[in-house]
Amino acid sequence: MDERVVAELRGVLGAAGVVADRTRVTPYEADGLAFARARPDLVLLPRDTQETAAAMCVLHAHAIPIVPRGAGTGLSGGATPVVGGVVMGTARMRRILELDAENRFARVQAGVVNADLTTAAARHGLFYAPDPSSQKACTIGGNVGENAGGPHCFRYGSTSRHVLGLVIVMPDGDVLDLSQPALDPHGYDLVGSFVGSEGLLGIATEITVRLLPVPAATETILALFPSLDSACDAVSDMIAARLEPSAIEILDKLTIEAVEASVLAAGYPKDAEAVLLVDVEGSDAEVAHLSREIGALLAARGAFEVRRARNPDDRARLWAGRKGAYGAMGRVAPDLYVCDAVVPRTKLRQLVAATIAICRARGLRIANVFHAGDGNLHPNIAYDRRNADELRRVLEAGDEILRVCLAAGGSLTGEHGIGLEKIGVMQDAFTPDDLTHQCRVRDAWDPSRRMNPGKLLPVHACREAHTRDPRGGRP
Amino acid sequence: MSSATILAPCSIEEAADAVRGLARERAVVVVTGGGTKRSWTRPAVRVDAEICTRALTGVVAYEPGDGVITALAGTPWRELEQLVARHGHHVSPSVPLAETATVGGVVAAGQSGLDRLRFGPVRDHVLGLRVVTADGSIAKSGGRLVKNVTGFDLQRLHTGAHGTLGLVAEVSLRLHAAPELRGVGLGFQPTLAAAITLARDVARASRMAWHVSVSNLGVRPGDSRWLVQVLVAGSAAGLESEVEALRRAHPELPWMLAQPGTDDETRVLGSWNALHMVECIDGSWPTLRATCAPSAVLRVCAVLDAITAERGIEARTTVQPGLGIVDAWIRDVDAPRVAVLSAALARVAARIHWRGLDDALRARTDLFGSATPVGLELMRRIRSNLDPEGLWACGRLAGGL
Repeated sequence: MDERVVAELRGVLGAAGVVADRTRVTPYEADGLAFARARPDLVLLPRDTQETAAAMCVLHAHAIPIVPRGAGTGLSGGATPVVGGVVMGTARMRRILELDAENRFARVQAGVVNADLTTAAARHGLFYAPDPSSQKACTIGGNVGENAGGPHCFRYGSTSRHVLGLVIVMPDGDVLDLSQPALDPHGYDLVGSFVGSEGLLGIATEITVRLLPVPAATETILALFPSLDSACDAVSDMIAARLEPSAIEILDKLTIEAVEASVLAAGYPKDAEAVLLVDVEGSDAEVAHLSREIGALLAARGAFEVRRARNPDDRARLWAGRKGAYGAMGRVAPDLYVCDAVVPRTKLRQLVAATIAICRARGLRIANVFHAGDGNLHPNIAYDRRNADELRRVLEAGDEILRVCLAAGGSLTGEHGIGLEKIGVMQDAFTPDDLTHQCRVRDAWDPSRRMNPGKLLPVHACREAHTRDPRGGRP
Repeated sequence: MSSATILAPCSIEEAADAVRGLARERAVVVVTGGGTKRSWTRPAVRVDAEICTRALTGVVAYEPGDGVITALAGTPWRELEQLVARHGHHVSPSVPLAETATVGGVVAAGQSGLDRLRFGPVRDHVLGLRVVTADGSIAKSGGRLVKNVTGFDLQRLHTGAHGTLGLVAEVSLRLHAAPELRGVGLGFQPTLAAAITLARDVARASRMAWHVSVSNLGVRPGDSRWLVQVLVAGSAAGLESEVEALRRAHPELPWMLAQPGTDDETRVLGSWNALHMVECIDGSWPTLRATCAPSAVLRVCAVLDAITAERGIEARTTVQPGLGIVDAWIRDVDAPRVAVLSAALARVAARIHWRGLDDALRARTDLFGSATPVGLELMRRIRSNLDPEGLWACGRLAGGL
């Protein structure tokens, strides 16, 4: 990058806000999609909205592409850098700016870690609902970018249902302050349409989120099943019976074995083919009633053991295997390809079976840990990225899984986003007209198309891509 | 083209054909449904044609085991409610005039319901849309799944846009479990402050309250009391224990639970329906809705009280303290009264919105207060990118959108 531009950026961000050193840039070459790597020219680390805006002005003046990044825990390559561009990280924006317990909201900088917000809210009897598996590392800003989910989104919904306001720095450096919480949008819902936009529309620097009261009682139910099929059927039955716990998760045998062989051992018996975890919340009476109904349903579906826990430590032990599943999988293989697809909840069993068949046919090991209640599958394929042929088979299996899920009425992603990873299959999910509609909205926010280029929207699929002036003007 | 041109397509493809035809004639088009929220927007600056969705009806997909329903825009909301109720589901929002209100209209108007406290705003329930765009193409966003982040969330952009960004032709909605039991808490409080405190405490403590409000709508002139109304619903076990806890915490609020098939059930359902009826009186009592932080409702009410007393304006008020909504029902509205009330409330509320004004007043009045929406320039760019030729009638929403 031109040294004069670097100097300009140092002028607005200070020396600590501009990372150019080769060794220090290396960690930013990839996010959770480990096999996709690129070296950015610079990593920029502003401390607040004003610094972000000033840096964005400089980048705008020099037409430099920008890749926003939170903690880099994303699994779809949404934060994979682009060559010739910069990474704009939120790592130095970690302040909780306001926590209004009376009106139940918090205003935070984008780099605040998800779990830290819930910790801060806990002393007011409140919590922040979206709880991705990476919640001890991932940031609220990253969650906004991806519309992140998590186990308890079964009851509470994904991030977009919890975002009340945003401060957004636009691609040209303008600041859009949509932070005043309001019941309904004034004009169009800019906040709602920004959430999940994967860094293509601008950078959120401050986020106002809804906080919820901690329920009076929570019970965790752990059920052991003799087959994955019967666990899936139990979930479909729970949905059909309109039971409303707050989380419904499934772990399969390979995951159980990995967990039990690791330091995270949760005491799951190794003869179980599947573990079903359910959280039930509410008043004592409500929890007792729902727990009874769910217990009866699980038994009818063949659960051979049901464990229950109400106090936080015991609950945490039952959840330990789920929370540690991804870490434990490190024992199975050096790398893990975490697929993310959603299927209709009436078809859980057949589609989980299909993902297993697809992997086995390619000689791959698959472990399933997933948000069963939402129909959000996470087939995890163990591999070694140094083995080129294995990586090829993994990617092929990933694509095939997505196509099978789409054909059954499912979608490409429930919470990880499209990013770089799934851009090639967007045209299987959307028609050119659908994609053109999305491109037009993106062009209103970012006529220069410098924000996270090459992610989410396959440019060649947009009808106007080749006819429009890249600076946004009409031909 | 005469201003009376009304097209009523029976399928999405027919709607797209109609849009293409009108675009060729460079017509300016407004989309209508059942017309129940006509007074929520200003009259358009110019309209050459109307595309009415009333013939675009039918449920496209409903698999009860998935908890999702997909319907065409003109399907009456009541039809949806009744269909899903037969399979143990509830569809939110719970809206008044549901026989006339359409699926497309509820979504396009961003109409949240009587059940908002429990289920949230309508935009949270819209899982997917098919929209006819200004060039007559059909664009899908989202899908028929309860969880899905594939592509931009354009459902939220179209929800509440009143058809100014495209014709909402098909909607997929998330469903909820229908309640086993309903109940109602009704009690008078001597002052507004006491009523609001009670209502706010109940709203904050309850997991099963669908609606909590404070109102002096039905109170006789001279009676200064305020009615606290709480509608609760859910599983029988959960509801009974919650109402018991609320009884202990607030003995001043009497409760009635509707055991199915009893007279109590008739009375409880009567209370629920009465709240819907209230929203239907807007012909003679236009409403000024002010929204604010829940902690600010009393201040908004104080300003409202002061200005109506000072100007001799007859008004009634309904407050939802859990959400931060103050609805002022105003008698004998004219343009100066609209202006003075708007100006006073805009100073203390986050937003204001007039509903129920007649055509002449709506043409002369800013229904949304004078504040320019933040991001108006961006909204205009979105609009212009989605509708470069200006097919959809403009000037109806805040900021002239």
